[in-house]
Amino acid sequence: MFEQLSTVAINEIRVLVREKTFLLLLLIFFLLTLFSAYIGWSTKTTILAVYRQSVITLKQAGTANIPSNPFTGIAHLSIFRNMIIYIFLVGSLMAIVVGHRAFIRERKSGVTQLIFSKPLSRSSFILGKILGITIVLLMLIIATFLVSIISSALIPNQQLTMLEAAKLFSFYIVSFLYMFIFSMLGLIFSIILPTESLTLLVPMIFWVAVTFIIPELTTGQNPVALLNPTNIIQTTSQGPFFNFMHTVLSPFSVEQHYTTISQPLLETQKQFRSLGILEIIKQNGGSFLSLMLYFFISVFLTFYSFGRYKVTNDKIYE
Amino acid sequence: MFKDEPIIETIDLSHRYNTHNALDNLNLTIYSGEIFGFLGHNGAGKTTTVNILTTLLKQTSGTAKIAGLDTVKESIEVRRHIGYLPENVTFYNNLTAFENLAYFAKLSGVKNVEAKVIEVLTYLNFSEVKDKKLGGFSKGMRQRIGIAQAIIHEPEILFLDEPTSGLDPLGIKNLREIIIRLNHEKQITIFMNTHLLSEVAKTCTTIGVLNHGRLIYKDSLKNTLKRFPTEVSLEEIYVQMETNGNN
Repeated sequence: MFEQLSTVAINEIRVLVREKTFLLLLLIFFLLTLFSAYIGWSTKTTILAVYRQSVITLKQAGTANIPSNPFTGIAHLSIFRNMIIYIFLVGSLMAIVVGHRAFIRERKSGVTQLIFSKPLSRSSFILGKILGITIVLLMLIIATFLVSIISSALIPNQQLTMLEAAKLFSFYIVSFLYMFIFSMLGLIFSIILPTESLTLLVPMIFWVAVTFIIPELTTGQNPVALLNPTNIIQTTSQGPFFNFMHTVLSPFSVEQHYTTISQPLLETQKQFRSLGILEIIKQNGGSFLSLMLYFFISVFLTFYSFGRYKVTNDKIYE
Repeated sequence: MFKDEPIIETIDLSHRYNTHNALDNLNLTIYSGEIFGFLGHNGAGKTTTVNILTTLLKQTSGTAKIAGLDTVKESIEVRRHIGYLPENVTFYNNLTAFENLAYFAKLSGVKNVEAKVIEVLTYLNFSEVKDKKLGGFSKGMRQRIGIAQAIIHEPEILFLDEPTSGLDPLGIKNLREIIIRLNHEKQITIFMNTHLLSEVAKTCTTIGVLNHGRLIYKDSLKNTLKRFPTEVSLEEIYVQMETNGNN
């Protein structure tokens, strides 16, 4: 069984890395990772330069009490804070495409008929697909982590300590969990929906709901505020409606669970700097467990959907 | 050369699609070594039969057996005994012929994959396409790769669903030669759904005619031609059978 499972997984990776759509998304993602480090560093440098200029101006004006530099405490890791947005905007979208492509290409071409005339069980096939997707996402995450490490090494005075590197790695592992859930969403809809356009449209609607609508309803913030990686408020005081929505919808806000864990891992605020990885997980146990729960639910639903898939009734193929 | 034993057997096999009866108590026995031509009008139930026999579809009622194995209860084991070439065979277009065949060989449990792929391609006189991507292949070329994937694990039975559909005359001739070679040299039993009566006359040893899900005729080609001495061609015989079947 393991041999067949690994055969399906390896084939999945081989086919995917030769697809132009995936390669384009991959390129965009790597560029965003580089930009994230650059933008973070540039912002930090600009702010410090403004502070230094203000000090000179204040001294020239004869001000005696010059305030201390409020930005000296900015953590090295915080230059990667934009990655939180890139993951929940672009990373999740890319994961949907990876999951969607994993099965729609077989359905569309009709290769499923050949596959299931071979002595291969359905569970081996779908497990192989999930394994292939997992490896692709992990390779992507590890490559992104390495790009982040290299970019931080290239930026002056930005070298990470071992603990900071470990926190950055942990952030990418949490990002993998988040992206995996979306990849399964893409895979599930590519199995159950009758037309190719619907198989992509419906997970996109889910993506919009998870990324924008649910966080907006649970926090009462406008969409632009939600894109601020350092200031995503977990609770709301915007009136009874949003308080109610927060209570009802918060457990389903995967994106909020993700940002809740990611912010301390990337030390987006001063108070997070002193926290170790285990402490962060402990303090945000609810969000961490919720992400894990969604991870397993998505795997279960993928198996369930595939169990009901009928090869010969599939009219999607050309 | 061949054992005189049933290798494909259906007993009261029926299948319904909602309200439509696609197969109606089909009782069919095919013996090892035959080249069986399954004839019938569009919608007669030929593809449904092949889908059930290849374990892609579960019948509504009745039993289907391949090499003595039940197609529902022992589906994985059944698949080790069969090769299948669907009507519109497709592959992974951005993989080479070798990569595609290696994938299907591994799924079929073939051990020495590389050697086997080369052996099959050489057998089909097609080794020059080994490293070419399938995206640019013609229908005839795809069909040949389709045959290669179907026989790579040395099955006892090969199911072909309208194999000549969309092929040019040369492609049809090549495919016919391959089918006969597979039967004679590798002792593979062939089950072929087809519309082309000329192909049945040139290739098959036994024919069966399906009419609205019912088997209305089955005999060897020799006996069939003897039984209808006044009809000039197999086409006329078929038309007579269909007419009788409808009545």
